[in-house]
Amino acid sequence: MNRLPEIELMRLLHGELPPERAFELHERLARVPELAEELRRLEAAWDRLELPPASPAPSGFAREVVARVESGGLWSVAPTRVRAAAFGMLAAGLALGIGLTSSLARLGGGGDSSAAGTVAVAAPQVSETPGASIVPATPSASPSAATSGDRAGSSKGPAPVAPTVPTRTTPATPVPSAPETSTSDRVAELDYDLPAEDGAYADEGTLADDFWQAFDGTDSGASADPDTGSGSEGL
Amino acid sequence: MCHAGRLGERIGECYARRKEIRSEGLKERVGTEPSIAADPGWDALARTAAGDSIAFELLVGQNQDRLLRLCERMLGDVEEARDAAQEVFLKLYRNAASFRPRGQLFTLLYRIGVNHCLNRIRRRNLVRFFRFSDSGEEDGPAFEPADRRPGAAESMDARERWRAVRQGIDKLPPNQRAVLILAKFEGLSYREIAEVLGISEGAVESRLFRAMRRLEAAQESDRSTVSPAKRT
Repeated sequence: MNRLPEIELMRLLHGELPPERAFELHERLARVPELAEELRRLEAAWDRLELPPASPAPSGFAREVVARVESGGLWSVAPTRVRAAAFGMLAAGLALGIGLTSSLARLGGGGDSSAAGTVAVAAPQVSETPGASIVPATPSASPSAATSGDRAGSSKGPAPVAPTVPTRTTPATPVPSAPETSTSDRVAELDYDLPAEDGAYADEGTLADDFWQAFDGTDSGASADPDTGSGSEGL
Repeated sequence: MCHAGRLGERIGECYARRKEIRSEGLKERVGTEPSIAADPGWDALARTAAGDSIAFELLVGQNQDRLLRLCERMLGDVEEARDAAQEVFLKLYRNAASFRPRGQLFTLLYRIGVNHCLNRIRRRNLVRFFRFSDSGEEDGPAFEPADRRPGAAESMDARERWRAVRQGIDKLPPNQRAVLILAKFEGLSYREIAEVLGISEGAVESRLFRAMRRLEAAQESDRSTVSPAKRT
């Protein structure tokens, strides 16, 4: 049996078939009993399709819809495209913010030597661990540290970085006086641990160099002392 | 030849009359004439787009019964149908400015409504999938048809019939379900269904035929399973 006439049976049932085609199909129905049986079954199944009458709209339905529109504000009634665009902009802004924050953090983490100095100087002033605050604090606290004549101050090494640090740190540290004293105190405290005279820790300059290398990845001149012009061996 | 020609004319007349009867019956069910030459609904929609909430309220009032009925047929649940119909009207409101007047407004409403209901059905199926539940049992909400007919026995029979039909419809693939509901319960012509669903008339015909085949098979299996039980 051809499939096309079967499909056309539905059109025939609904009276949507053109008269000529209906006549042809009718002739075929007379010739092919299976097709006639199919039509009969389809018609019976169609007639059996019955559902309860639909519930009428509750009173005030229209008013309720309008109230929903009015109470929802602009956002709820904004076209889908507008809302999608707003969501997109929000997401883009969020991504941009996260990106900026992370790139700033990366800069502060050692990407740029001067920025590294900023963080290195600012952080130790609030830090409680003396070891972490010694060397980076020295450049910003150079007036006191340089004049103290101690070896920790003299061995801070990286002279080229030092001039840029105070200018950058000034806005970052609103109260400069108190941290400076505390830093020099800590440097002084450290001096007790450094047997400067006997040269047992003659490689202390190397400690500072390691520190700066860790920060800016540059070799600050391991043995060069800007003040003395000599290395740790000369101390 | 002459006889065949006359017979053809008579068959044509017969089916034209059948179509007429069908459209009359549908008019009773639908309540309004589906084909109006110049649909004033577009004007109301334009005023809605301009911010006229009274025009929108009128628009909702004119189409609420039709849309609620469609949603109820599609979803099989009165409460869910009300929610869905509200959301369809909200969608219409949101995008009122972007619709171009073409054809009848109810076609647009049906299109939004059918798509919305199909999305709801898909979401429901997705939820069911993640709940790992049996597809045969929880396809839709429990169907408890309200009976408005007198007579307890008739009422019971009718409820059973409705329940069986509802279950059969719920088991249809969504696209076939939409075509069947639009054709059988909304009384749209093949051309109108094609317009609503954005498919060809041939596709409407084929989907409807397949849907009927499935329903027929379901009815047959129901009869074969119910009959022995009734005998005992």
